[in-house]
Amino acid sequence: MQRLAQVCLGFCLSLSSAISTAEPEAVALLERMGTAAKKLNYDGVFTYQMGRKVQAIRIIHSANENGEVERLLSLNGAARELIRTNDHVTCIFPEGKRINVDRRPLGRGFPSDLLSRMSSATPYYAITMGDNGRVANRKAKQLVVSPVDDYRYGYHLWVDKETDLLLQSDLLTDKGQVLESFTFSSINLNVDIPELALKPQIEGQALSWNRNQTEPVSQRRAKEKGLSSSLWQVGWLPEGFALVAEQSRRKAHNDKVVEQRVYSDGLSSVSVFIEQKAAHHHLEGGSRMGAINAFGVMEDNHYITAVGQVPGHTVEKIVRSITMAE
Amino acid sequence: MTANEEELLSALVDGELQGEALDSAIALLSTNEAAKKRFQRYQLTSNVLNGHAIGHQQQDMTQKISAVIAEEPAHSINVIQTNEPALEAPQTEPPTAEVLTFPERFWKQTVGLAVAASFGALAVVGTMTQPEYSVMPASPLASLAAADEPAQTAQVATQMPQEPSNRWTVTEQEIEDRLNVYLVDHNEYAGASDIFSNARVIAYESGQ
Repeated sequence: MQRLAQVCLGFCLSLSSAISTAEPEAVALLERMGTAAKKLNYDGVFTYQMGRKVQAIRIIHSANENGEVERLLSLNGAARELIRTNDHVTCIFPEGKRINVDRRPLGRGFPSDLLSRMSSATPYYAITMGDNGRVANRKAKQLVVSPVDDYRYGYHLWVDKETDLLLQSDLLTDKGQVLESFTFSSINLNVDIPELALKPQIEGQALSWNRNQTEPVSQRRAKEKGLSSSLWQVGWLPEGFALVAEQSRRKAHNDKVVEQRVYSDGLSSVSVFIEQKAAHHHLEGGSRMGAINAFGVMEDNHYITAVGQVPGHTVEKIVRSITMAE
Repeated sequence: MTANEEELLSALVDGELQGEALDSAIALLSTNEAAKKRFQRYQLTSNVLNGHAIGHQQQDMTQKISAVIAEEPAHSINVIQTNEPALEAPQTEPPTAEVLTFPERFWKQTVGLAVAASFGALAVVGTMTQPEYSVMPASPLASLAAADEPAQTAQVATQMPQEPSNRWTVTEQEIEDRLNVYLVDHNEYAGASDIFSNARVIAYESGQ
C-alpha cells in the first residue's frame, strides 16, 4: 500500500511537472503544425534515416477545397510510389509486381480531430520551445516534446517559421537517442501542384494489380472516449490514451472481419487489430520496424495485434490486457 | 556521358533533385544505358555506405544479417506469460551494430568511392566508426544555422541507437504481409510526424 502511494505520488509529481512545462506558445505551435501539414501545397525531398539506412523521398502534397492528395516517390533504391487521396492509399511496388489499394480507414473526417488530440496530449508530455535554426534552407523553430513516462517516445520537431509546416522530426528513445529522423533537404512551399505531378509515373512493367480492397461492415467514430462496440475489452492503456476511432472491415479474399481500434494520447497512437483466425501463421510475440513496434497473440481463435509508434513494451502490455467481453 | 549528366545522377542518388531536374534525371535513366549503369554504381556505393548488403555476391551475407536480426532479443518474443513483472522489463537494445566487421582498409576504399555522398550518407559513414552509438548532428540545423541566428542556434549532437531494421523482424512472409497492411492502416493515425508516416512504407526493405 505504501509502495502504491509512493508510485501515485511520483506519477502526480511528474504529471504536474509536465503540465508546468507545457508552454502555451509551444502547444499552440504544435497545433498549427498539425493544421499546416493538411492545408499547404508543397513539393520537396526529405530523407528518412533509421540507424545506418537512409532513404530519400520526394513528397508532393496538394490541398484544396476537395481535400488532400499526396504522392511519395522513393529516389534511391527500388522505385516505389505511394499516393494518398481522401479515400484511398495506393502503394506501387514494382519489384513485387503488385499494387495494393486500400481504402483509408476513416476517410476524410479523421484529420479534423487533430487539434483536439494534440491539446489532450499536454498532460503527458513536456512541450517546450527549443532552439532556432534552419532546415532545408528555411528558418525553423524547435519544439521539444518529452514524455512523462517510458510508454511513449519523445520528439524533437523543427517547424517552419513562416508556414508552421513540420520540416524535421527526430523520434527519441527514453535515453534521448534518435531512433528515426525525417528531414526535408529541400522544399518549395505554396506552389501550384499540377495534376500530372500527383499521378503515378512507374510504368512499363507487367504489373499484377492486386486490389486489396475491403468492404466496411461498420464504420463509426467513438463518440465518447473509451467506449467501444467491440466484443473485446482492452484492460490497460498508457495514461492519457483513449479510443479515438474504430472500424470493422471484411477482407475481400477470405470474407473474414478485421476490427481496428485506434488509441491515442494526442501525439502517439496505437492500433489494435483483431481478426478471426484464417491463415497459417501469425505474429506471436514482438516485432519491430524502425520506431514502429508490433506485438501479437492468438486468443479465442482470433489474432490480436497491436501496432504503433511506441516502445515495444507498450504494445505488449496493451495486447496482453485484451480479453473477450463476457 | 557529360559531366552535367554525372552530376545529375549523383544528385539523384542523394535525393537532392526536384521538379524539372528530377524529371530530367528520370528521363536520362530511361533512355541512356550508360547512365543507367552509372546510376547503379552510385547506388551500389550508397547502399554499401548505408550498410546494405546488396547484389548477388552478398546474398549470403544478407541472409546472415536477416537471421541475426530475426534472432535479436526483441522485447518480448520469448517472454513467459507471467504477470506484470515481465511487462515492465526494459526494452532490449538489439546488439546488431557489431555484426558486420570489415577490415579498416575496406572502409577507406569505400569512402573513396563516395562520389555521391550526401550529408545523410556522411552521417552514415560516421555511424560506422562508432562501436555502439552513431553520433551525428541532431539535425542539419547544427551546421546550417550559423549564418542567420548564430547566437540562438544549438550545436546539439544526438545519438542514434544501435541498428534498427526497416523491415519487420519476422520469419514468415504471410506475417510480414499482414503487418504491412496493418501499418498502412495505422499510418492514418501516426501522430506528430504525420506528414512523414507513409515514408516507412516507401522505405520498406524489399525482399532480399
